[in-house]
Amino acid sequence: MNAADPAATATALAGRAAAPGGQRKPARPWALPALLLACALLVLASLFTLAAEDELGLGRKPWQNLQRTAAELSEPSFLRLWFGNPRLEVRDGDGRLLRVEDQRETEARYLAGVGRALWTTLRIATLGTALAALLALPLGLLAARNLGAPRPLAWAAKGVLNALRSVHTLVFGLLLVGIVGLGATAGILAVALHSAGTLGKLLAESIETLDPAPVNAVRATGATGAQVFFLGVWPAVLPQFTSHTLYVWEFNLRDSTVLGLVGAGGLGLLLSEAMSLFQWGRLATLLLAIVAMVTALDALSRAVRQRLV
Amino acid sequence: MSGMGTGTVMGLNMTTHAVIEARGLHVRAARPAQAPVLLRELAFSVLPGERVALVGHNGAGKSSLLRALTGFAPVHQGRLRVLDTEMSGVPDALPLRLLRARVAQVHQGLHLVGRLSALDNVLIGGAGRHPSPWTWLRRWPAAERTAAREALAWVGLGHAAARRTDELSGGERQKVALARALHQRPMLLLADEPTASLDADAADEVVALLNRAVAERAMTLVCVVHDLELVPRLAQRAIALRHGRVVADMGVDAQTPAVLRGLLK
Repeated sequence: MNAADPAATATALAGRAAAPGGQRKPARPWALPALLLACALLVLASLFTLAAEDELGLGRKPWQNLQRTAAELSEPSFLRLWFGNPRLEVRDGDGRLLRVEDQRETEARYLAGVGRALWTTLRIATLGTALAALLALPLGLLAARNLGAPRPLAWAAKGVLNALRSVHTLVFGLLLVGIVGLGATAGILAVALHSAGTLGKLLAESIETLDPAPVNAVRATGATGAQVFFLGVWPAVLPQFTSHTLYVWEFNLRDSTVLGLVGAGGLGLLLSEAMSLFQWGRLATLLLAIVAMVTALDALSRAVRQRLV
Repeated sequence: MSGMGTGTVMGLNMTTHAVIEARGLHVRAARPAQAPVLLRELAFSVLPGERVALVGHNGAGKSSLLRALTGFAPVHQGRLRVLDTEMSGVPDALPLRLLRARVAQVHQGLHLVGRLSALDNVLIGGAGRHPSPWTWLRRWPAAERTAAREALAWVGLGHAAARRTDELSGGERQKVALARALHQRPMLLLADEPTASLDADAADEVVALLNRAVAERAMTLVCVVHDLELVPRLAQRAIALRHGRVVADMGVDAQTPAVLRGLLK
């Protein structure tokens, strides 16, 4: 074999990029220790600066407070459905009878309200995620480097995706309540905007990591650009995109439960009501309802996603 | 039309008839900044109906040559004509598509869309003929569907039309790939080590099918062959490449594998 340039260049390249066999990456023995050290320094710096600013206190009576909160939360209000007093007499300070209340009936009415709020939260998360998927599609396709969108468009799409992703759903909620008013619409749009950023990025990444061979094989048949996309790219990324969408839907179910805190509809409204009226029993009921719903729908979504791949 | 000897001399006289004609052809990788010239000063012609084997070590430029033939690697210098389409410079999108529609390719291993059925994968071979947006939804004219089923039956996989290709064996996938190539009704068939990832039996079957297809449909075949023993079974002419240059261009007979082995040592 004469030492012709391709071989020589290949050897020269091997030092930088992936070499055939043997050493794959240049050894950097200091890299991991250095990274760990940097992390440790960041942790310590955070700890000591916050302590110096006197921000790490636990309040005046943390232990008593914890006990009190735990005791109050340990009697979820829904138990009154069975154990409540059917003839609770409400009296004023002088002992005069104001009214007689059936606690069981009151609780039943409250729980019906919780059910409606859960249903609203579910709808906000679902519509928000669906809208997010629609928004994410064009942005993700533009941002995927290997689909060859014009550079400025790709950059713009990437910028929009990053911006959407970096603003929290709650912040979008606050902004949108100011724009479209209180209610589910604000919640849906808030969920959609934030999740579009996440889904678009995930879509772009799954397109970028696609095996190029089948796609090029479609192109090699003389297919048009659109045909290459719909016959070669789309069938390969659709299951992943669906799976990601379901995953984001799980997230949004959790996020939407607090959206009501800023007035964007659903369960959060009841949460803030219970907290500001110090109705800890009702708060406990609400938290249990959230846990139940999120657990059930998580399991459902996971089961569907496992069958997708 | 057989055993054309040195393609260079013949090619000069038969320019208009040649399926492939290369003159002083240089090819670089897509990112020239980090890649060397892959092919240099290639000069050969391939005539209609010829069956040509490309042989050489890894990195000799065989696959690069196949890519250059359908515009997947740019011609850097010199001339390249494939089916009367000028590949020098950057060909326009439309002529390139029309050329690709007439050239079918079978690669080594996995280039089918795994989640699509065998039939859907074969139908993709008709994409060049049918640019209609209906095909985006995988809706093809009835005649196309019939032809694709026939192509699958021809390779012996008529029963597997509805199965997903990522559930098929390596040999079956390569047959689906061949069915797609046939469905394309090409004038020129390019094959890149079509038996590379197969066991001996499956490889035998694929070689037999490839030969039958080329014979029955009067196609021209250019096939990258790694296993030199396969050369006499697949080709009547062998072109050997080394470091991007042609080092031999010969007719094939029973001795060819031994000759090539000595040449490429």
